[in-house]
Amino acid sequence: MRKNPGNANTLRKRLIQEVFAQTHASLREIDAARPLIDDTERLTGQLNAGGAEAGHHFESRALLLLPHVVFRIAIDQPVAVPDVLASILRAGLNYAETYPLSGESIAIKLVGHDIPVVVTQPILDFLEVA
Amino acid sequence: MPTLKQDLIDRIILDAAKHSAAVGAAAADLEAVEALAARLHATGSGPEHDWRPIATPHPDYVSIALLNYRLITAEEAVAALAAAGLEATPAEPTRPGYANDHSQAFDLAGYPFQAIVQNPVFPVLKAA
Repeated sequence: MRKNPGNANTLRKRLIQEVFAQTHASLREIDAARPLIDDTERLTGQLNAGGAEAGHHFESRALLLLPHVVFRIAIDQPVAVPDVLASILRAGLNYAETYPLSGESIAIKLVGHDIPVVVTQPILDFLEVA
Repeated sequence: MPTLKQDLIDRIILDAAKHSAAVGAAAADLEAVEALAARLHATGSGPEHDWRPIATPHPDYVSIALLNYRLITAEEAVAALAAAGLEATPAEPTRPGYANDHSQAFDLAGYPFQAIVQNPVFPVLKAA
């Protein structure tokens, strides 16, 4: 690599500035999302209480799609969606609909909340019957 | 167990650190692409000499290229690059995002980045 010692390397400075600007934007986004973060953690606790009887374990998740953040509550156990729906009801929550996500995952929309519950390893009905 | 907010902040800071480290590691290449652009500008005033350094940081590397957005032929590009002392060989673009289906990329001997004519014109069209 040929070096050019006299160059001011403004491109490097600009890139570093861009990285910092992006970081600040992301941190601001997290601050703005604080109510959603609190809601996600509170709902997760509530779902774990409702799912304890069935041995269901829910986890808060945040997907960083910089500068945005997407929240969800995941259950990674191999479970049947109707069983998860029952846990949701036992947690004192209600669901509006279920819909498929990419891969095998099934999302469950909770009534009154923007954070979906995602079943990452749903057991399909025909397997349950078999 | 960290809270969701703390986990997010940790991931953002880690991401920024990775990007910054990648920029630091690419410092010599960034300096080189800027110097080449300046040299190309200095060797002539035509559109074939109007090359812009471009770079995009990623967590593990920095995409770097020398781009010419003007309507020039690939031959004019090679000649302008040669006038600046660069040996350019036509090649497939190595970094997605800087080139489209019509772009012509060139490997530059001695440098790890490419020169790209984003929308090259054909000589016959240029003549018309």
